Amino acid sequence: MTALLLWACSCALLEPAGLPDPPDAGGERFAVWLPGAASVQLVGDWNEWGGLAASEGVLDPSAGPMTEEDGWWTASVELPRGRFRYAFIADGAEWSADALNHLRSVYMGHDVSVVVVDR
Amino acid sequence: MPGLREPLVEHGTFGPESSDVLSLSLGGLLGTDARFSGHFTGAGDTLTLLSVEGPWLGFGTFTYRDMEILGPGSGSLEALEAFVDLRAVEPWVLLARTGGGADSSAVMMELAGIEPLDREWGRLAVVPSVAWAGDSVGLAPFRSGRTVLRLDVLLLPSSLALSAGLGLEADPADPGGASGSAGFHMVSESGVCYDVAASGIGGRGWQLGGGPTFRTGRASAGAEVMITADSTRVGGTAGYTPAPGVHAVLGLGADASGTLDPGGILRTVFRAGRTAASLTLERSGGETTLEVSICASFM
Repeated sequence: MTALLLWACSCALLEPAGLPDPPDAGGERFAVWLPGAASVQLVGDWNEWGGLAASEGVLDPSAGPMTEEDGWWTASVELPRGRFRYAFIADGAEWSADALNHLRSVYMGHDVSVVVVDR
Repeated sequence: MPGLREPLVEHGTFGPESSDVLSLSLGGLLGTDARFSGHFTGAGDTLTLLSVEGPWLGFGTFTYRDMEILGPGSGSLEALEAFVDLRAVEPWVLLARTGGGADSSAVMMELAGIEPLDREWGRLAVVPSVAWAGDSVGLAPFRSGRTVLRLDVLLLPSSLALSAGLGLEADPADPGGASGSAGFHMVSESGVCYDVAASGIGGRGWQLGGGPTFRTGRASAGAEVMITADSTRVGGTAGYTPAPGVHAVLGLGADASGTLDPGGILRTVFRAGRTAASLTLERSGGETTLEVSICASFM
């Protein structure tokens, strides 16, 4: 019984989780695992980095909202063909690149990700 | 000004200390959009930006950008970015020029769309690229007077929370300076997040690090090991989130000699409608910092 429990436990420990569906169908899907965050924003070249790209800009708290379910924050964005840098900002301060996408770039000293939209 | 991967020039490079801006936009002409703006800086310089974006023609598109600085710190930068959809492969080309001479030009080409593996759970993408720059080009994505070959191999998820990346970079004129990096990320069914990363530059150095982090809605715990050619460092973190937006994280690190480096961070975030405020108290490297920020949106 103990061996069975250990086996089941180790499987759950090592089995990759399924990605959640985004709130809206279509567009590019973005997901990040951040349980405990009060808010997560998706900022990038397409939304002027949530206002940060403006001269002496500040982060707009309503920019790039993401939806949370079971610790996963998701969003889908309709993007035209092109290349876009993006990042997640948790609780208005914690920057993180997309750990599920290793194509990287930089934005104002932050490590960010790149998505190529070709369809 | 964006490049293919890294930006050619970032906002803020020239110091936005003036609010005198003149901008003009034209659009709709055969699907072409054009934007012009002039920025009159407090230092006596005038910065002009022009961008022309071509329409999607069924097989490709282009974007032309020009930046001119007039005045004491004069300079210029032109860039033409083009994308062609050849079905089997999608070349992205960037031509840049920072002056009038031949040694002030640069070119970069990246091939996207090469995906030898495409499954329901994920796909494998191979992205080769080449960059060349003249001797007087000082733009971030390029090395002056050098040709750089790069190959990225990416495992991109479709339905499972795992990803991996491998990057190799080499300069034919300096084989000893070849560099590589690799990373792996996975979130397991039980909420454990695994990260492993490695990087190295020829025979000059390398590092390998990573570890698991367990997160639930309220608590988190993580461990990390970082190994370099001449040192080993281990660390651990423990976090607690009593309410959404209130985080307390304590960390403890130690190197091979047993020297401890305790630290921690306490962050509280308040949100009400379109207003957000945060308070952060951080202890790191023997120093304590307190940061307060408030932001309200009225648009």
